[in-house]
Amino acid sequence: MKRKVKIIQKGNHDKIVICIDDQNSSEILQYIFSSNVFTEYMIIQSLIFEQIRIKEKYCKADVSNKAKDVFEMRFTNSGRNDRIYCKEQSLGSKRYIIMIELYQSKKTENISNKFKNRIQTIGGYEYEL
Amino acid sequence: MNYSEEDIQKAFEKSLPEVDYALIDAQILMYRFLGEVEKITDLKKISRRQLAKMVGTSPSYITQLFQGNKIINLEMLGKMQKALGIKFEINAVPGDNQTCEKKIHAFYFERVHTINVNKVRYASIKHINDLPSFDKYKMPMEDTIQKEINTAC
Repeated sequence: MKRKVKIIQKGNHDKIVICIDDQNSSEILQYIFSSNVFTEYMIIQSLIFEQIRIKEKYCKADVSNKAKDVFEMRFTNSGRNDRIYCKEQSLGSKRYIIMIELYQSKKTENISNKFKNRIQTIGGYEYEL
Repeated sequence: MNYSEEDIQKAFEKSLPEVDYALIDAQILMYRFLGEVEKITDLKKISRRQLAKMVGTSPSYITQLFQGNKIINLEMLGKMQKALGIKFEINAVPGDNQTCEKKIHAFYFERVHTINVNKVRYASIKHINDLPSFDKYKMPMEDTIQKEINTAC
């Protein structure tokens, strides 16, 4: 069954749409709107809309081919090291970026097998757009 | 709690006044340069550490720049230009309503039903009383806002 999304913001003449996975929206939104995070989120959003690729802010999760459409927003200000895993999907001329899962306090560069599987699962999600 | 799309928009409305727009604009401006630097370093397979060495600074400073914890200065941009054998081109174009401040003006302008110019206040901006700190925008003159909208359009 296809998962549902909620639209957060549209940019670049509506060609890029940032959405949020309906099931996880509560947790992710609470995080985004928490103090010190919102400004960083707005910067990442602007980078996405202006199509500026900066690895330290938004990049491919790059764990395997199964997760080839999975990207991560990186929140590193104020000593944080948090991620929001997203899936990119295209429909016509529009690019949808769906925020799916929040991962807080990433400690190391390496990704555990358990989390790698989680990212791959995210890569397999299909959405009603 | 399950948020509707309307709830999400309201939450954005409430959070927007707390945003430091000068900081965001400065960072985005910096990232326009760094985005180009990243393209070149990826192409030439230059690591952040190597880039730091090439411009005579520490790898942690470079990381801080790319993470947005520090704002780059023009001297460093000049060093990057020279080290990578590139030239940044500057092109000024008319601003659009994508800049943060204009987005806000446009956002609230949409919600204005009538403007009472004599009292120099907006009579019916929805949600304005819910906003914690929006003093800067509470009593704008009609012509100032109109000018902003004209520029944005």
